[in-house]
Amino acid sequence: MIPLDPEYGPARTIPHPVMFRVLDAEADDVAVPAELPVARGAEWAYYPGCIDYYDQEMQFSHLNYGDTDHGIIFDSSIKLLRAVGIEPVILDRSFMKCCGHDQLWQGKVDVFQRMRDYNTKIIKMLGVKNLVTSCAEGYRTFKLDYKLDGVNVVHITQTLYERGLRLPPPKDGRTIRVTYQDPCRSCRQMPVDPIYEEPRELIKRVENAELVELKTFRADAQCCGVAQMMYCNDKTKGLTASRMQEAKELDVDYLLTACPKCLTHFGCLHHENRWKPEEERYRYRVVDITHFLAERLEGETVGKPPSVIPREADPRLKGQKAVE
Amino acid sequence: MPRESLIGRMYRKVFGYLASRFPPTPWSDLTRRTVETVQRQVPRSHAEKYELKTIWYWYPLYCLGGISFVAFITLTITGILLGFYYIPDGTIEYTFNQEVTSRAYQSMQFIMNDIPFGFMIRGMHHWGAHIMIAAVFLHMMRVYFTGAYKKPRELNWLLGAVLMIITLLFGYSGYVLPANDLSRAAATIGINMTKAAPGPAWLGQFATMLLFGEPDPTGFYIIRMYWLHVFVLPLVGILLMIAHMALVWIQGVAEPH
Amino acid sequence: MQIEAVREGVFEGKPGFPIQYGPERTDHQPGIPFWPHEVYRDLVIVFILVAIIFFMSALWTPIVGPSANPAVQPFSVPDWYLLFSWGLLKIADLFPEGRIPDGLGGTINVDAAFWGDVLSLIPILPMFLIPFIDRGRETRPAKAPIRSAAGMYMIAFVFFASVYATNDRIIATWSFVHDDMLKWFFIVPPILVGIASYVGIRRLGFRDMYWWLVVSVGAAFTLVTTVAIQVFLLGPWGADGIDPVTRLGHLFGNASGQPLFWFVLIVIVYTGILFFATALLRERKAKGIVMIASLATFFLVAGLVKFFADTNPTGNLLALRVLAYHGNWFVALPLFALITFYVGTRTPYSTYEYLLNECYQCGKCHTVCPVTKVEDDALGGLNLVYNTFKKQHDGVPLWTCLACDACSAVCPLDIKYSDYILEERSKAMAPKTAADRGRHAG
Repeated sequence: MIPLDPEYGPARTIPHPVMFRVLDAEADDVAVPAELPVARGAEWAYYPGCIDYYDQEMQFSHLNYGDTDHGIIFDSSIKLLRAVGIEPVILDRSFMKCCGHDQLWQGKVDVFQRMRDYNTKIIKMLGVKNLVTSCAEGYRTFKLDYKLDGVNVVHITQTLYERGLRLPPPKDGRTIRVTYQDPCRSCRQMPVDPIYEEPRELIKRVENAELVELKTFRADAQCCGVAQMMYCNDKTKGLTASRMQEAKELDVDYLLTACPKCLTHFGCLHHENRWKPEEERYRYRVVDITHFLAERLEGETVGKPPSVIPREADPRLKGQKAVE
Repeated sequence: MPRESLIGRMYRKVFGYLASRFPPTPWSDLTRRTVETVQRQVPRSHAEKYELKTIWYWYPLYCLGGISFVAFITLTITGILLGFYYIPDGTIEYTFNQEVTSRAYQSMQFIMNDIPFGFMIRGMHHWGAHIMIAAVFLHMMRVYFTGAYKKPRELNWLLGAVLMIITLLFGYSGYVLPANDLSRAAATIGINMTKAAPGPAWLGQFATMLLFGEPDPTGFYIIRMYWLHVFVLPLVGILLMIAHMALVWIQGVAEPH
Repeated sequence: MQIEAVREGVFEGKPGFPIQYGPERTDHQPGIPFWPHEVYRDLVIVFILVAIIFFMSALWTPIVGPSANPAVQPFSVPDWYLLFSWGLLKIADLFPEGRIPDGLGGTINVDAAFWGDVLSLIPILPMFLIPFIDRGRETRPAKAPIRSAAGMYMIAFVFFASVYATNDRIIATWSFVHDDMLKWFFIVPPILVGIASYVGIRRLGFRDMYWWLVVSVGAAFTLVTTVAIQVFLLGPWGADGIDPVTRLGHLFGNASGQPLFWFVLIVIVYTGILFFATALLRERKAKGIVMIASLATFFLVAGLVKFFADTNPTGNLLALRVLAYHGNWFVALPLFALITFYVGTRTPYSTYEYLLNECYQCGKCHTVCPVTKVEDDALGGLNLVYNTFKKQHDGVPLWTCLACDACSAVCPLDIKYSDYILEERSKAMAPKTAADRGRHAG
């Protein structure tokens, strides 16, 4: 086997080299801090993961005309957990490392192992009983690739469903069409506890949301095109594009996902698409499911206002023909 | 224009001679088909097909059928050579020293001691027989364990089972022939067991007379065993072997998967 | 961004794209020509075989031996391949004899020869019936434990029947061996071989066999203990009128009984250790304990035999005779427990190629792989699993895989292709990362 590009694998364009250098460099420092700045006991812990880094990457390495907001996942998750009566310990990135999923799948096993050992020590030190993640890849990694005995690893949608999240009735009566992308990592790749139904049940609890399914869903769902942040060229964008085209054909208002990576890649394509207004065809919002539910929780929007303008109302397209 | 080669001219001469006497039309097609069959390609094994680097240690076990056949050819050739000198007469005689002997035994002595390399031919026949029986048995075990008797190869398995019995009978009739101690013991047991065959009493008697020629071992059994060993079993065995191998040729080898 | 351009890049269905599966496949891989390749290959094997036969007949030329003599009762055994039939003939003594009428007015003489014939059918009849009994589709021996274990049982049966055929020679050589023990050879060792094979093959085939293992070893332990109790309570060869407590006192107080007591105790303790290690300890620890216990037992028994041979020869001989008499239980069962433990806890083939080998190229993974819909390479199409097998990937499918497991989700054999990708990628990256401690050059 001849690796043509020695760094990350042969012949692939690597879109996020800075981010990975930073994440991998973290693995070198394995000194576990003696004291951890947590405010309370750790029966429930929430691990946000690297979503801040995705925001940085999206905003600096791509000219981001859009409103893909990863950090909002963090705020929304905390809000939602509080709404079901959980006050979680936040496993902050200041003393936790990246979960190591991308490094593992890129083949950098020893980097992954160092991160894993460090994170496992911290989790054990804090005496965590339930580890909640909002990231599907984190869910799979903590459940399958880490050996966390005695710790119950759950995705946030599972917790919200089991604790009976109730959403207040909507302020306006307009029905919104919503579709959901099943992340590979938390559905197909999980031999135990795949998360197919919980997000769908939660969506159903939003009274004015109508759930429609994409062409392939549940275990057959087509991947969003992500590959460990390693494989990003016209071809994978073609996959992402075909998925978003399916959503467009269903005429949805929201495309929801439970994985920040899917959000990244749908969002990236969404933004590229908006450089040329006449080409913008995905006039629906792509948000994480936690963001969506948190918006519905208090009847108000969390974060930036939506910037999806229907074609008819788009001022930039005055008089131009639509491109399909 | 280059001159035709010597071989080309010879071939034409020979072919012309034959073609003017045996019109080629009915059999030229047969020739073509034979050539095509011989030129058939032997399918690649799994490891060759996918160029796998794994060496599967069980692959040599798939040669066992071929080994049996090669051993059988060796046995046939050495058997023909032995048959020039072996005398199938087991009647008990006495030498002038009052030692027990028989013409079969004496011919064996002759082969072993007086014929140049007779002992080698006999040795090759002996060891070839053991190797063939062992190879047939191991072949059967291999086919059994790899489940190669399943559909569509049940008929071939039955043929093989019959061939196994024939091989055992070959071995048995073979070591009854030299008219030594072992042969006599074997003949005695064989006669007794055949007489006691399950079923009506006359069946056992009939089988004993057919296979051994006498109800008690005196030495007459040798000629019958000889005929079985030299003609009946080879005829049946070769026909069944051809059928067995033809079926494998047609159906293909069941690949280990 | 133009979707049409992407759609044009999809190669499936276009002319020239090789159809790799189904009746219309266009990339038949050629075989090997019969002439000259196969002929040469076969000729080599033929020559080697004939050379072996030649060599054997030169080195170990068979002798003719004494002539057949009607006056002398021959003391010889048939050739090895018919020994099983002779052994069955000998065991036929146990069966009832008599005459029964056949339906046609005559009588059938049911004697040893008759039973020998009938018993010889035991290995032969199943041979003919097997394809009609076993109608499953599974051919791999590791995935068909019952068939494989039954085959091992029959082989062991034939083998031990052949061993019994030489019982007179065995008893002539080792006087403490009793014929009754040899008679049990027909029953006990083949069953033990069958069970041990079954457990080992289940393990090899990646099926769970923990309970099979524990129950087998537990049964061995129970049987050993039962027979030991029987020996001590009833006397080595059956009841002889003495009450058990006195007997036990005799046996232990009596100098000649002591070696027997120690040997049986060692056997019970050893089998007990095997059982508890199997049932209670985790595998690695159990394997260590069993190895130590086996070595210790072996040397202890050998040492004790030597020690008692010097200090207490009568007791020693008695002990050996009792052990040999119950050899099927005191010797075969602990050995069976050890072998079953070993085959049941062996590390199965761990390389992923072994698991990938289960693939029978149905092509479903190819159909659902999202990468194949958009990716092309010099082969005209990227088929991850197939190209992996053909080693034609030169790394491209390895790094192109999204690890989305759509292929694994549809694989009828449940092959987890993403696990393979993970292993291969880590193997590819390992030297670099070990050398540069996680950082990357540049």
